[in-house]
Amino acid sequence: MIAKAFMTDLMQGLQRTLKYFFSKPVTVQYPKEKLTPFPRFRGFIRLVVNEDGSHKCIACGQCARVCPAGCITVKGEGKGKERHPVVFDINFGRCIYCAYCVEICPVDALETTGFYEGAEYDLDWLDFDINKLLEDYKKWERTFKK
Amino acid sequence: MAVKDEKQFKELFAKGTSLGKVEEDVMREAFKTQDLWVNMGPQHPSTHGVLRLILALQGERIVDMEVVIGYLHRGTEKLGEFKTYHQFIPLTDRLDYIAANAMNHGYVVAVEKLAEIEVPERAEYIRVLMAELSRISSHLLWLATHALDIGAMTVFLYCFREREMILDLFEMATGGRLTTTYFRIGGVADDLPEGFIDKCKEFCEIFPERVKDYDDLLYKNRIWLSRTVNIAKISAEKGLSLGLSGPSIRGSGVNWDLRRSNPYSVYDKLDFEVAVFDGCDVYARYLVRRKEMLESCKIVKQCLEWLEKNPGPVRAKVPKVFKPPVGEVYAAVEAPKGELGYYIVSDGSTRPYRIKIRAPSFANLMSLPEMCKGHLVADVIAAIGSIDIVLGEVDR
Amino acid sequence: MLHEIGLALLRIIVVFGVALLFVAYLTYLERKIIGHMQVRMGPMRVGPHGLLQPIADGLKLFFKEDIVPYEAYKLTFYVAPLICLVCALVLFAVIPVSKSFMITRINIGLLYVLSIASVGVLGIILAGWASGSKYSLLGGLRSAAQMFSYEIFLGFSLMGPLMIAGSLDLAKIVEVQKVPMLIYQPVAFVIYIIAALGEINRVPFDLPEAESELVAGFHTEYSGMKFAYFFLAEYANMLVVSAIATIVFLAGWKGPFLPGWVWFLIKLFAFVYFFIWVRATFPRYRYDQFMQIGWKIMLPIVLANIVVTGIVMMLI
Repeated sequence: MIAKAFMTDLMQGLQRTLKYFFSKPVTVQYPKEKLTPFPRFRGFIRLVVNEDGSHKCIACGQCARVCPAGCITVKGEGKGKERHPVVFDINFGRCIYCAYCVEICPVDALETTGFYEGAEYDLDWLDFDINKLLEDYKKWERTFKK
Repeated sequence: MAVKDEKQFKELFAKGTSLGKVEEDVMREAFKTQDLWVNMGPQHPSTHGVLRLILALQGERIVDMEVVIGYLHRGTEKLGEFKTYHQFIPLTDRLDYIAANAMNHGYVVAVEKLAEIEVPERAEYIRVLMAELSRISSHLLWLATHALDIGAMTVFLYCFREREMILDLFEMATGGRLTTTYFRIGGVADDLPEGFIDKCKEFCEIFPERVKDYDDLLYKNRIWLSRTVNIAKISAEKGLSLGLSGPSIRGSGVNWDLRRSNPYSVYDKLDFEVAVFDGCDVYARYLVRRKEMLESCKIVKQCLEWLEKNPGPVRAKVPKVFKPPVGEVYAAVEAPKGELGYYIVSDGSTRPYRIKIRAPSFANLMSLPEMCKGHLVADVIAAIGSIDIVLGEVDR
Repeated sequence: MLHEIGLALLRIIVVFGVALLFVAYLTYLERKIIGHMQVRMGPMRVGPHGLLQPIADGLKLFFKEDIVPYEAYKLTFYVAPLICLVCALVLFAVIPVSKSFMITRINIGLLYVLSIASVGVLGIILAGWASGSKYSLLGGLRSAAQMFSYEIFLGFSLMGPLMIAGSLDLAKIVEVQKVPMLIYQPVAFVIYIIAALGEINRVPFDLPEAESELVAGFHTEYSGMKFAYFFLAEYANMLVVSAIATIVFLAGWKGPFLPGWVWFLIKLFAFVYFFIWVRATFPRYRYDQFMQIGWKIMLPIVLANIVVTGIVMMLI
């Protein structure tokens, strides 16, 4: 009764919020500061090349088959060891970033990156062709002045 | 003297004729009040997505209510018929997108039961670890939004702070923060990365402390109590007959938790308490979820201890072109929202013939009119919060 | 003559200018304080630490399309926000900021404040009714009941201090207090704070605009500048209520060392901070529970307070 009249339950809450008023915020000011994703982060997907610049990809088409969203198109050329992709499109507008393609690839020709800023006005920009897939995605990261 | 209609009544009334029994009835008829129909949703700040409620109000009191769903229907079950068994896993993520791991878990358990695949024990432990982490994260989001609906806005941010830690753990192990897609048929995608166990332990240390934050703001707060105690009551019998499951039914005193009553994975080897409270009201459901968060934290600790000592494979050999035998199967797991069941019919091809998902939110939502009748508008918000629905799962 | 009018005009401009600036920056203050209580930063983008945020908000609201719903009663729909804002701003006229600085000194200052504040309710009710929306109507109904009943407690809780001060003149009330009235009237103070929370529609009593139940209550259909009027009125009311509390219970501008207006502002912002702090902490009461608290708990207490004050005053 006395506790109720003095509102101890409410005071407890007030005390807690006051305590946090004087503590440091935990948020990150996004465009100025960015968190680096963990290595396993499934961002945009990249094609990997050998050291000599030739395609690792053998255009087997397993990635296109396993993709739940059906956003990968592959066409290859050549036979045996010569086989390499001519067309390799990933439509990131449709991609659901499950990275099944990376997991299934027999020659590790695909990799996930930490690039995630894919909010775009231009849908065509998200349609990555074979040349765009080889680029360094870092250059598209949004930068803001401090 | 009998009065025939309203017009005559008004004439008599103007003359000052005294009223008898019959006249009183006519008067009541003449001055009948109308129900006010209010459309709550699909765009409303606290219907948790795109739920639409049609409320019939007398003043602010609810006399009737209808739940309208389907605004988030994406045809997941039908889509499943056109995807291979593996390809369906990312789609299950998007059912209850708050606890994606639990959704994965239900599906892989069902498929493994169908194809009789033996899963390595380490994989099972990792699965339980992930499922419990996502239970905590789901309950945190529930507490956050529930408290926000009732007006306590600060709890929201505190809960999200801890949820962020869990999402970081998910990102570390699975690569995804929300749609994790971590479980595979026959195990999990990959073993836990280095440093994960330490980070997870750190979280387990911090978390019970942080629950005190929420308690200070809610647990004994008189405003919180007056908004939740004896609100939206539902009896155990009524709840069971409506198919209520999960924390919602445990708040009505029914000790029904699939992790205990029908153990799957390695839950029978783990030590935890099932949270049961018999208040039948919003507050009891709050207490159940609050305790479940702490119990889940305990389970996570036990899993971590086991995982530290026992390295091993995390994925059984499953062919890339996966064809389960002809047959049908139903398997259920205890998702954060309740009993999540997958009913799969296989015709022996690479794709399921039919998938039916028993979504806990869907069944729980149907008890809402039962809970809300006779209460005020403000209580509907508390009731929606207390059954913890996710519209992605309701509409599928 | 001309000299006096000029001086009065100057005072009016200074007080209203400062009041409007305060009101605008009150929104910033609220967002910052709540932000820090919730372990985040609050507005950070516009200007250093988001200092220009209120100005950006004002500009945005000013240039926004003015939408009038098809079902609305046009005239009332336009007039309602004006009533709210004018009533809120007119109140500043009698607030004595320091011994010599106030727009006007009238000997029924407190009565004036209470009566104008109750006219302000009209704006909210009209807004709820004129919007032609069910949510607005519910919000309007709620606020009608809420504000009318809480005005009673607000008035009654000020009665005790008034009896001791023996005047309705706000400046006189301050001059009378040798020690803050809070010492003599702690019960009245607590009741006043609770009633004030109800009167200015703030958590835990923000039922007319409970955003999770009624979307935004009476101003659901309002947008642009008309919405801004409601917004400004709400915060102006918060300032007035804090100012009255400062004057009646904390001896207004009185205080050692610092000049009077500084003391006044310090005390004023202590109250404002408290209101914001409460908002960050508590859930919201339900409409009927709120009325119960008012009529069943607060009314008896506040009446008893008046009686006890009267008896004690007679004995001394």
